[in-house]
Formats: sequence, C-alpha cells, structure tokens
Amino acid sequence: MIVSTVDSIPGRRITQSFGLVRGTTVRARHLGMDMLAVLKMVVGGEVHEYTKLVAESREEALDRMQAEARALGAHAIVGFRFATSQVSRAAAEVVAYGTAVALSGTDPSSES
Amino acid sequence: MNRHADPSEYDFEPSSDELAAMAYADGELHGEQLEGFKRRLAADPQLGRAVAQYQSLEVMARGMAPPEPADYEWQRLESEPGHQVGMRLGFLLILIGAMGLCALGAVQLLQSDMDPLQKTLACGLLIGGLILLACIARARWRTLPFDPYRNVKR
Repeated sequence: MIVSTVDSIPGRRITQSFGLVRGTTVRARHLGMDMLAVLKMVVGGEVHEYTKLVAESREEALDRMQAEARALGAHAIVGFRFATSQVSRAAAEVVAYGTAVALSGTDPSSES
Repeated sequence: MNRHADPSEYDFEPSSDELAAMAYADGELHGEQLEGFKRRLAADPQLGRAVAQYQSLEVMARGMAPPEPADYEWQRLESEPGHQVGMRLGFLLILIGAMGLCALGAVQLLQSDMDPLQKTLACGLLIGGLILLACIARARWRTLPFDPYRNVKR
C-alpha cells in the first residue's frame, strides 16, 4: 500500500476517498529496561531503550492504520502524519493517521 | 498444521499454510479467504507464530537503517564477558533486594501492633498486587512470540 505524506500520488488519480484512517498504540518498556534507561540518562547520550520503544510504537501504529485502510478497500493513504503524546512517563503513545483513497486503474490487492 | 519453518530459511518450497501466512501478513487475502484464514488463526497458535514472524520480517525491512559507528561500539561492549557478568549481577542483586524488602515488609506488617482488620487489608493489597503482576507477566510471556514489533531497533 502506498503511504504518502502529500495529498496526491504523482501519476495517479484519486477516484474515491474513504475518509480518515488511523492506527494507535501505547507501548512500554519493562522495568529492567526502564532502570537501564534512567542510568543512561545520568551519563548522557542516546537512550537506546527509549529509541527502540518509540520505533516499535511507530511501526505498530503504521501497520494498524494500513490494516484499516485495507479493510476499507483503499489503494493508498495520503496526507499521512504521525502524532505523539505522553500517556505516562514510561509509555509512548503514537498515532498514525491519514486519508484512505482509491486510485484509478488499480486493483486493491496489487497495492498491498 | 504440521510445520511452520523460520521464514529466514528459504531452502525449501513453502507449504500452502506458509504461503497463506505470507499473503495474510502482506494484506493480500480478501473476502472468504481472509475470513477462513482468520478462523484458523484464532484456533492455531503455531499458525499465529508463523504470521508474526513474516510480519516482523516486513517491519524490519521497512525500518532498516544503516548501522552507525556507535551501534557497533555498543554491541562490542555489550558482548564483553565483564559487561555481561556485571549486568546479570546488577539485575540479580536488584531482584534479591526487591524480594527481600517485600518479604521484610510483610513480616513487619504481620508483627506490627496494627488492628487485625488493617493487617488483613494490607496483606490483601500486597498479595493481590503480586497475583495481578503474575497474571500480567504470564500473559505477556505467552503473547511475546506473536509480537512482530519487538525486534525494531530504531
């Protein structure tokens, strides 16, 4: 499935809009990783535990958004964005959202 | 469902189940095929693990980024025996300390001159918390193989 941050797909024509699709997740590290992350904050540098946490959340939210678009029979998602907020100190919430659209001359299964 | 091999091993001809798992992970199943596969997925944990493996490969491929010098250095340091022993020892001491403090707290609670009702409620709180933690840890442990996102690095 094509996921685009702009509002159109170059060379393709949008024939139908299915509206908003989104994927949300909140993930947390286990206590052991959290302890290591706190210790790394003492010495500075990249906190890999949290980098990994945010990356996991981003991928999961993206997949959930695409699954919703696929269920609607969409070929692509345009105007895609990520948003994030803090649910608690040790949990990362990521929302992926965009507009599911159908493109001209394509079969939904060929865009997966 | 007899065999779900590791998707990284491509020296064999994939079975129909593996092909269906790949198609499901890629979002290529539709209509009745999709519904039928979902029913099988709900009943067959091994099939679920195969789907999760294909999904994790897709997620890893999408998020692949070239390693940086710091990544290599982290890996090298983490593989040093001294580092590994230090990490294990550190976690072990923290675990022993936490369990010891919990046990000590429970003993002090029972020996204290608190009202019996207060003691009972406090014990209920402690034991209830431990039971909940055990249930959640068990559920997480069982669902871990189905989580395709745990190998995402950055």
